[in-house]
Amino acid sequence: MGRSLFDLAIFIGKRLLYLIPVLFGVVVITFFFTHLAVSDPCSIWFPRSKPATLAACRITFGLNQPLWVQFWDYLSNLLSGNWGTSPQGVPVYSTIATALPATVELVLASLVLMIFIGIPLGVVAASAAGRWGDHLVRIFYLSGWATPTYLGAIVAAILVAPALGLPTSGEYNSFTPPFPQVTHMSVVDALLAGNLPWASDAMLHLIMPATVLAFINMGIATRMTRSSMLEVLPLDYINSARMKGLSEFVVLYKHALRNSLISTTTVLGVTAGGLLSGTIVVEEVFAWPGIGSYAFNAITGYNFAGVIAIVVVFAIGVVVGNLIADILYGILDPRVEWR
Amino acid sequence: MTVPPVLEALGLEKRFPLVRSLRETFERQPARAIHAVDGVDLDIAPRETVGLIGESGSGKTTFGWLAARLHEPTGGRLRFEGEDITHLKGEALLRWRRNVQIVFQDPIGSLNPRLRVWQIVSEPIRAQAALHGGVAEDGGERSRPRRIGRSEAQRRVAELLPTVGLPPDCLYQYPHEFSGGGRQRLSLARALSVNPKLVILDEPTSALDVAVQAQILNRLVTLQRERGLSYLLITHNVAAVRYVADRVAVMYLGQIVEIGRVRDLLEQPAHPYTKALLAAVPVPNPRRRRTRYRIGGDVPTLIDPAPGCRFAPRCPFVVDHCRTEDPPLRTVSEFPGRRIACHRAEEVGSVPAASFLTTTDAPPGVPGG
Repeated sequence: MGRSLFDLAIFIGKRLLYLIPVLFGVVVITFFFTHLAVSDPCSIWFPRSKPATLAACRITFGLNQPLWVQFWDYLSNLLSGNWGTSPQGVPVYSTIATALPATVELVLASLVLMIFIGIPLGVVAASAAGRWGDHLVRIFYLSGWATPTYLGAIVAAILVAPALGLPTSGEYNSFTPPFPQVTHMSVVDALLAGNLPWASDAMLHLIMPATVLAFINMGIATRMTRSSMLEVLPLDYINSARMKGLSEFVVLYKHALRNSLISTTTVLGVTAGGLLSGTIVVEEVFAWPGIGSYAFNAITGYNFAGVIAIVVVFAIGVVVGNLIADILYGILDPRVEWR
Repeated sequence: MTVPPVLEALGLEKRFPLVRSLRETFERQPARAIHAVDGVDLDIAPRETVGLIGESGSGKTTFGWLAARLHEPTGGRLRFEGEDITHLKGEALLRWRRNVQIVFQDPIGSLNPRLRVWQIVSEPIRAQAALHGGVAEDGGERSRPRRIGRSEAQRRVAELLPTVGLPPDCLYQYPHEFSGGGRQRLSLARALSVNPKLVILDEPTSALDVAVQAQILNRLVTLQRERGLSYLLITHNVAAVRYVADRVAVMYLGQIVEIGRVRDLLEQPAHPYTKALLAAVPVPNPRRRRTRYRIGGDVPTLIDPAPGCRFAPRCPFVVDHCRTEDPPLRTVSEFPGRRIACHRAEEVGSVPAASFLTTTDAPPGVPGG
């Protein structure tokens, strides 16, 4: 094992193979939990229906079969690419295909904020350790950390956004005409359509939900950066960097930060993977048509196929987030081999 | 006109303030401080090597860092080639840095693990060139800031590496691929890259095995001759000082207690502390009686030390006068070319260490102990 691109490819391949048992476990658990929790879904999906209608419903969804037969049918459909349908007959796959990119866009936007605000704040805190700068940064990230998402999102939507004149609902203005959604990421699609006003409008819509997510989740990045900077700063290569005549900015950001980023990268990878499932409240408040909104609707609507698919996507998100962090390790640290 | 010393410290002082507790603040107790370096006078001439020895915690490393302006002095003055640099700031300080470089003790911690050899060794050149054009290859100075490209940087590093005994083809390696001695050679190459006038060697060999120590010391001597360097050698390795240094200064609790020419001082130490320190150096002779000389008492604290001689609480020759008045570093006619900080140097300077130090027979089988 080593550090070539071939090693990297093998490393990624291996890690993706590990995904198979993880996903199988996730499917088994969510399938049986959802199906055991509700004894007769048809009477909930279609309340006050005639017995004949309910019987027809049970046959349509295979609910009259033994549970293990239902599981086998579900699994073989899943493997052949059919992710099932909602009770209303909407295919789960097509909903996920439009909702997931919207959430990924939101998560990436908040990740950018966490990287470009959270990490420098950690550097500031470490270089001012024990002094006012450190305390101010701590107050800032702890207040984010301590804010419940529902509160932060609602306060941002009701108080902050109007004060700044920022939109709080959806991806585009309501008067934006429908246009081809290629990637289902609002900003990217507007750029692909070649319309800059739409793109800037989409960016404005992205600011509030992404900021709320970043504000709440940024603390961990700031804290990790601060503590690993404090480990690196007393080392002699930092002093020797100062001896070279480099400015303190270069010493901090080139020599110290680069050697402190390992743990921050891990945490951000895990956070970003977990954030896919952490967007439910924010997406509901800001009417963001992502997978969080879809999860909320699927759970409240007893959409079993939808719930299973969403949990699988969340699991993939966590695994891929970790994988990306591990790949970045090797890029950040020449001593790390991909194995 | 005489040549000014490369570096001159006059009453140099570094105090680290201690954080007062809330209670101390409310009770308006005075802020306390650690007196790491407490009024040190020391000068280093061009092409001279000054050894600085003392126990751990004596302030010798802090002094080295002050001399390199890594610490901000809290008192006293520091001159470089006659110019006051005590409170040099901003870009002037960054420009000045090419005159003095440090080789640190820890060969692992002193090299950035993310950078390749050519990046490590060329960064000082590039940083200095970006400030004021830096040092040209013919030794002259440039004045216009400029960027040094990758190929020029690599070529200059490849030329520099053989002078410290490294092969010129290791440009693309990382520090972790080198042995301890190799890393220390890299540190040395990095320090020499900007043609400094003074190199501060902070325990340069203490992390290395004995054979490698000798190689590095020999290399240091050769480089000094070739490049006309001055060294400040901070160490507790008396043998290294004997081998490399011209003069040696002995530090105890932030002050210099004795300074003089190496051979005189090491062979006939005059200050009671120097006698005790040198008596503790193990002698590599198995036939010599395994005896250990000790001074009684513990090392006193550096926090707001009591007035008088720092060594008074442990000194076998102490008189009342020693406890009240700081002994100045002064010349003593019995010891020419030497300065000693002891009120009773005339009387006790010639007393051999063995006659006043407590003798403890070492347990058998413990080497040197």
